[in-house]
Amino acid sequence: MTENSASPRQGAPNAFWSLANPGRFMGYSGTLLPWLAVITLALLSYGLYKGLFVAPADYQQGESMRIMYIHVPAAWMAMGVYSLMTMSSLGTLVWKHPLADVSQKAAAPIGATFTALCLITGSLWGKPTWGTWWEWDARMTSVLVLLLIYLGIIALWRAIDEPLRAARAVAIMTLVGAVNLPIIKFSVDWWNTLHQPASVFKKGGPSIHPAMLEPLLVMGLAFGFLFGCLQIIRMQAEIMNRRAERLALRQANAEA
Amino acid sequence: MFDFGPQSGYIYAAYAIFALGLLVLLGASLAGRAAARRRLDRLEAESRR
Amino acid sequence: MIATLRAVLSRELTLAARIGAGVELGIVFFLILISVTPFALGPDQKLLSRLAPALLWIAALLATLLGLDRLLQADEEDGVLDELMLSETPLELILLTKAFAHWLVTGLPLALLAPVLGLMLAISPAAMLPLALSLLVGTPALTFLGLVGAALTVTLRRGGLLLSVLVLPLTAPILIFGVSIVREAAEGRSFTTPLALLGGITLISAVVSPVAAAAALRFTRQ
Repeated sequence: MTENSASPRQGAPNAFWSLANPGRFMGYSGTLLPWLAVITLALLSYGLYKGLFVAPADYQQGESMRIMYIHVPAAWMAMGVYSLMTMSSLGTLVWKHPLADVSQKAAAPIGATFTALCLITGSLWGKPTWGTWWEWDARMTSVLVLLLIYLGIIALWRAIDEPLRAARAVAIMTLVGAVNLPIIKFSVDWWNTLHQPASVFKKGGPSIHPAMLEPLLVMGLAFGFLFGCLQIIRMQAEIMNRRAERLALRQANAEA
Repeated sequence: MFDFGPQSGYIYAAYAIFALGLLVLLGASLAGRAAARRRLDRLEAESRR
Repeated sequence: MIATLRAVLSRELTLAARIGAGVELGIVFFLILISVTPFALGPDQKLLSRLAPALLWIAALLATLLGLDRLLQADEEDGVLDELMLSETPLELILLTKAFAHWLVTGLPLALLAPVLGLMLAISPAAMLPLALSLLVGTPALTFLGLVGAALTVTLRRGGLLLSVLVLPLTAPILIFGVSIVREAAEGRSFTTPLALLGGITLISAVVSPVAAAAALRFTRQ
């Protein structure tokens, strides 16, 4: 598989393919990473400060609603990362972009972590507010299913040795599991259940108090940048590992 | 520590688990990258010999 | 093309009849599961009766999952899969036929047997026919989902557990609607909504799964 070609293929913009060269990716990402890290820290600090100490407590729920500032952005990331993995899967299968499978592999554990954190923080929010640690309502069940799909994908990565075959298998699995995403999003609308219905991403705009909306959006942005940092670190590691594999193989062949 | 009222325990627990989870993920990712770099450097040095 | 598909179907059914290990074993497993659950739950009839729909559906799900690696594994090992992939008939249709044949010998007997076993779990009489109906409509979807998992793990040595891990989370809606049909019937209510939804899932999976499975076989076996 030629991975040193940065030549544009038909129908795709040049910038898309300029990063296709892993060496170039390592260069750009290395420069970008410190900036992303600084922005992440700044956004996290501001968001946490505002969310924990400045924003008002909820009229009905009290202070426990402050957990929303980590629970909701975690949910956004859980679904956002899976969406990214879905697009990477298309990149692997359809356009055969050389870094698409690296991106897929790097993102999966990050998405799984965000999903697990979403479920745990949600549980800790639910207990003081509605009295239960867990309910099998539509949204919680489908987010749990999302976590299980993530874990299955990670297991599939580990099961197949050859990276390219693994990437294609995982890509298909990711696409099949993507059907779960609209179910999560709309489940609270379709079924009247315990989990509260959409209050940010809905027709007519957010219905949440602006003093609460601001830290929420800042934290959402912070998580996004955090994902960027983690994704770059993990992609760099995967690229280096593959290069090491090829070198080891070459040496083994030379000695034989 | 800052008092959030009767639900403080839950709030601290949630934020602590969130911080722990992300730090573990960050640590594991950085460690994995460092290990990959060491391995690559070693192999590149060997192949130059 | 029809001739090829008919040949595939009859070959699957003949193999199943001769070797038999998959068919009867699935039914025996189903029987054992249903027999064992009252040991764990105790003889309380009311409790068993309330749980019966769920227990029967879970048992059908597990019995189906266990039989899934028979779907493609044997053909992979014998090289038949390679030949099928080279055939003029679209791979998607061949896989659809194989999955259908597999369902005929696994899901269908389970669906017909379930109401009888339900008697052991004190199932309400009003729920017996809806139970069979729900399994008849829902177990094909399980087999089709399993087809995708089987295609993804066909080259792995002991891919059975991984197959279950991949397929199980996606079976959640099937399980939810399937049990809902039986529960509504047991309480005397109309069950047309979950039945329609379950039917929809089966039809969609009948189309999507062969496509995904064929893609999986083409992309992952070089």
